[in-house]
Amino acid sequence: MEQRFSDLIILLASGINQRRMYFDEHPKVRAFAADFSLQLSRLLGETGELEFSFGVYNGKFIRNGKYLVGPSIAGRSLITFAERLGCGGFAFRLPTEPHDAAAFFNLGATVKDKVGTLDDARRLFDLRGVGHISLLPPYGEDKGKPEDQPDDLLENEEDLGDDFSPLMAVYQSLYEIVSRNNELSRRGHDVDIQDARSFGETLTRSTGDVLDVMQFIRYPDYDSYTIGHSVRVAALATVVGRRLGLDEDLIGELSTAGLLHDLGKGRVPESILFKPAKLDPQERAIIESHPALGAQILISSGDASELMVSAAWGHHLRADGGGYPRMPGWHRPSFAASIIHVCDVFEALTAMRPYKRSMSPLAAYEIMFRDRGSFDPRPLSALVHALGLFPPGSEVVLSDGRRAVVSLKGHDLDRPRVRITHERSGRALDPAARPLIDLAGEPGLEVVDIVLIGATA
Amino acid sequence: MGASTYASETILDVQDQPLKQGMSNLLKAFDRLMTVGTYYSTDHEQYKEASRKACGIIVESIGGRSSVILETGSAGLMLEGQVVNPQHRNVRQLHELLVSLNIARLEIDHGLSPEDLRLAFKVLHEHKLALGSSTDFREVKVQGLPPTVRVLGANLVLRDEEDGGIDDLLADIFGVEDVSAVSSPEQLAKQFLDLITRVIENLRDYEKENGGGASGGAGTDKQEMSPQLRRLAEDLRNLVLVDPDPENLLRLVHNARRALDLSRDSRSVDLVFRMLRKEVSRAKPVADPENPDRPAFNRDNHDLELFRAELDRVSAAPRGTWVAENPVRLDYLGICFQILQSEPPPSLEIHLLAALEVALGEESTGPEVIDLCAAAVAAGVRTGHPSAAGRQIQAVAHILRAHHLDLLARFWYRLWSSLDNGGRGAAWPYLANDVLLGMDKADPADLGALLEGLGSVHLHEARQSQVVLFGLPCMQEKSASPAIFTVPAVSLYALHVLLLESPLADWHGPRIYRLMMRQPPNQLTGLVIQVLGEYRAEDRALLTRLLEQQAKGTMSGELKVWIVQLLLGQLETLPQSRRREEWVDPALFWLGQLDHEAARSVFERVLTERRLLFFKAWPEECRSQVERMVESWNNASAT
Repeated sequence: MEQRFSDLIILLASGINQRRMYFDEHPKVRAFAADFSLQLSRLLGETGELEFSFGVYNGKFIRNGKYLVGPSIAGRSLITFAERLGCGGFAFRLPTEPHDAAAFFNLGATVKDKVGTLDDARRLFDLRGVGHISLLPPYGEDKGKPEDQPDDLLENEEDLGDDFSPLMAVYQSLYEIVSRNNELSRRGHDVDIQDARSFGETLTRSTGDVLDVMQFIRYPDYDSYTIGHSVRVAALATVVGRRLGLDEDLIGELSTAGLLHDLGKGRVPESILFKPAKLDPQERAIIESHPALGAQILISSGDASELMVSAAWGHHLRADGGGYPRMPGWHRPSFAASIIHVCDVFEALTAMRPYKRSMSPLAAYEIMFRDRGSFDPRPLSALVHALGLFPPGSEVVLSDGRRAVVSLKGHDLDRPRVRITHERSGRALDPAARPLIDLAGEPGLEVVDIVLIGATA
Repeated sequence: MGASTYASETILDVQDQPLKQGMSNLLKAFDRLMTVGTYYSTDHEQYKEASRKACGIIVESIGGRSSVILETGSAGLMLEGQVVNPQHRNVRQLHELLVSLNIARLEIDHGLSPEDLRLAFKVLHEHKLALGSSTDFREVKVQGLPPTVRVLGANLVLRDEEDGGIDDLLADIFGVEDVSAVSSPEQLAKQFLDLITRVIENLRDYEKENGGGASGGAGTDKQEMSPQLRRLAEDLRNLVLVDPDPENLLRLVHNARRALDLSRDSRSVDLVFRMLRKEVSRAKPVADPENPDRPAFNRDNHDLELFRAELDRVSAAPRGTWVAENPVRLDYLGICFQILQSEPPPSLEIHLLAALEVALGEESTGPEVIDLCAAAVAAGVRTGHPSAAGRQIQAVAHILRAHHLDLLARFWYRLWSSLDNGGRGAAWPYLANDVLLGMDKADPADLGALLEGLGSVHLHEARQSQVVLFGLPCMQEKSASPAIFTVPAVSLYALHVLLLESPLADWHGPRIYRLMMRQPPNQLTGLVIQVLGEYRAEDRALLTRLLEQQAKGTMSGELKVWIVQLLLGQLETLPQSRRREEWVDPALFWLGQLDHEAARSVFERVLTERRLLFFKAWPEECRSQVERMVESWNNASAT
């Protein structure tokens, strides 16, 4: 149930992001507003509560005394909004109507600076017709503590929850570096290669095995697909690089190249980048210029390595010579470009989007194999062999009805080692009592379903 | 054969518009070659000759593009955005060949050579023969084409723009934070339902026309359908309720469009039924107690055995040297050159040249890198931007001269070999520059070939790049590689002429003069040099004319007069003490050859002059020479 509340927070942040891209009456914005209203009323109806609230403190979301890690990463726009309003959180009462949510998104997207005091912010909400949504006082104010304020928040950071791992700190840092570089690129300023390089190396050192990497992949990033996409491509590139037996320095370079491969998109007008309809040939030509633009930005920086330039230029090049930019006969892409190409496509196919379930890895593999001319077979097979059909961290359903989490890829691609998390009845097992099963030794047991990341009821 | 041969008739597209520049000639060149190919094998001399001509026209038609693409389609043959009737007499052969091999796209690179063209047609015809003689169904995979000719099979090409192939799917995914506007589940479902309604209507009409359907009175459409069709319609509508996954809906919409197209043709109705029933049968979710509405992974929908076999095949690709065989360095250099060829802003060009310096300057730079640089620069020359190409040549040559002088000649050899005449003219001053500056440690064969190349450009072409040459480093230093003095002056006459006219003429003049003296291009030139004696700056113009004369093979009137005046001047005032010098006899001969009338006075003097009233003043050899010549003139006059 708490996951669903977390999803609501992400939905709020996504609504703000949609409003940033489109005008307030745009169907997408209205759809998000309507969906939030519906989800909220359903959830509160099931729980019997009249209000849904959460806190914002120190750049993170808090609910019931716990930091919400996923939403804290994905919901940055909402956190920024709260900070500008000077509030300590939000409370949504029934019946929060779609027009309330839409007005909330509108404010979230258009408030650019700090709004005086909390009272000023409340007046702004009233003026803009945001009904049934309250602004909670910031933590530490004497004007009454909001509910769920964690008293020992500052002293007891052990209470951070199981999800908060050092990897998340890395993820957040990577997210910020990519976001910053994209903004620098968009404004025509020099990008920060050294920072990206150091974080790329950190990623390589931090992700010792596939399980670590898959934790990156699992976290939703509705906030900005482009940024999270680059972070996840970087993570996948480390996986492929290790499987191919590359040395750690080279893997570090690949990782950094993954972070920077879409830098050129910062120079593509957002009206084209986020156009909600099919692109005309001119617009497509502009989109297809982003690899070349990215390479030029990197070369101009003077700091980028040859591998980074190669990956930025060639990550949309097909193995059969197609793709873009056009490749003359005397020029062929490097192994690095081929690796990033494979990771780029796999991530795009399997990642979560608003209103799009993530595709299972197997379905993604099938699509990629079907278009066999596109991909160099070596990084493609390395990816499959490294991740398996059910990558570590995947939640799966077994043929006997139990649910499990994949802990380790098995020797056979479709027979991993799993840790049982739920009984057939659906009852969750105590974390201390979750058996580990090697499906390779259980011929009568197999994975029949994979819980796709981001699936909601 | 030039393009003008075909200029008289331009091919029109299906809208009666002339094809874009060069495309008519390109198609005619293909057609002509294929016609010749019906009479001669690809190894026959006639076919080779035809392929040379055709290749020249094709490459000329491609012009500054990197390649040209021809695509087959139901409307006809498509190129450069225009469609040509596939039955056009100049198009039919090629179109039929491509269609028979299921080739949707044919791409011809600008670097096409006659050998490539012959090989390409040989391969295509062999495949066509094999196809024609097969007794079972087989998928054609064209293999063995040269790198400059590429094909794409129709089964890989997405002719329907709305097809859910991987590129379109990725375009939808990459394009926006969300999938495109039509990809929300509600909109996709609505689209699917609309399409299915129309499909069902078509099927219902078919049933009615063929006596099927349910009897029944007025009412809804369902009552006019057969129970079978009604059940199918309900099952199809339920698909979107069971599985609202946008990814699946995209596929359903795509298939529904196909079904709609097919359902318009009564001959395809059975196929439509089968497609739709298959679609319904695929939707069999595995029940999940917690989330019964969630679509299942469903192993039945994923053929793991097939996937495993495919993975094994893909994994069989050798990996050991893959990284080494696809190095970043070559890719990076290629990228730098490609950006340079796009005429980047000066600030970026500075970075690019600096990047080249770093990359090429490394100790590990070897022949493979050099060959890539040569290919890249050649491509730049072909794009037709001389100044940009010149900057690239200079940049590479400068770097190699500083760090890898031993590879400079290889670079030039590879580059020069890749260029056509026009390209060579553009590259000539830079080659001359490097030859003059010297290419130490060069392979003698490469250097010899480069000297030959340097000499192959005629003076009038070289003069077009005179300004460029005079601005290059070779004109800043009073030095020249000995290499240019190892071959006869006339071999590099264009270069020598320009050197004699250059700012460093005072320095080069004596050296060229000595070369002409050592290795006179012909007897007359050797004589003139002997007569001139020491080098003087005012003789440069005469030396220039002498070089031109030898290169052209004819003597201008001006040069003749010049030489005659020179010889007369010397002979008329020649003191007796010098009349036995070895040049005198030939001088008399050539004077007589060049100008009878001018020679008469000298000849008479040679024959009649006395010293001390008795002794002949001129040597016997001279007198005999003159007598013979006078006799021959007299004989000639008599006849």
